[in-house]
Amino acid sequence: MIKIDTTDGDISVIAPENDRLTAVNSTQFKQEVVAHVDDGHARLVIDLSEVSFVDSAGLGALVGVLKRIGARGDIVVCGLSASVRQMFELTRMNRIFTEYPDRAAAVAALKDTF
Amino acid sequence: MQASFDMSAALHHVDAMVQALRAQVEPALGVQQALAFEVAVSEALTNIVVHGYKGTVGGAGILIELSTDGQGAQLTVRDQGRPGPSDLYETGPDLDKIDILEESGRGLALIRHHADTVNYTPSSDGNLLVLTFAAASPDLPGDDTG
Repeated sequence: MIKIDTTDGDISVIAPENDRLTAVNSTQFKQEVVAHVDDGHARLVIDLSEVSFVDSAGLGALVGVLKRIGARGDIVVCGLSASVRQMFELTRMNRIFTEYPDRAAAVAALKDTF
Repeated sequence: MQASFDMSAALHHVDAMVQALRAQVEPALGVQQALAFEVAVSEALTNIVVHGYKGTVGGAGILIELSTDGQGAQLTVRDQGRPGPSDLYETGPDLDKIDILEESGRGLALIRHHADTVNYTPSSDGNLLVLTFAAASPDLPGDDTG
């Protein structure tokens, strides 16, 4: 349920294929992203530009990926709609996930960290 | 407006039901309050299916009644799942007290935050959850969030 773009060196851009990240699909989302991390890809951009709604389970899945990456890499988000950003702010996810307007800005920022 | 819906107690039915309900209330609540409605109802229906019907297969349907008027919207959910404690929606930390690195446990706090009133009556004969949402004031800014 995810699309992975690894054309930018060691940075993976991951986009959910569904327009909602909720309890319905968040477990599968987390499993697929964690599998990618465990394959050695620990610098992630999560592109949420096609996601219109995230519930608490979706947020939990993102936190789970963040914890899995730990100190091995980075995870940032981009493309948040107003409603998704509101959920991030309300639940303070904006304190642990740096947000960029789009994937190009997010990839550029991650490249600058090395 | 009054409408009723029957939803099977399965997680994969929740998103479509939530979107259908939001579409019904958005004209009455406005976009911003409709988002609050969507968040709270999504969390509530997910909780009922995940916790109330845990371990059951092909259980009874969940009856959902929705009414709207010029003042706002009321959602009534009747289910036959496992009853929760009567203070289920009154206890637990608020959003700003939940560990930011917790992967679960935000659902009830989100419901309390977004619904104007929450009334829960558990019973072995069926559980009743009533959520109300006031319509957004036309004077309030920020009603254009999509």
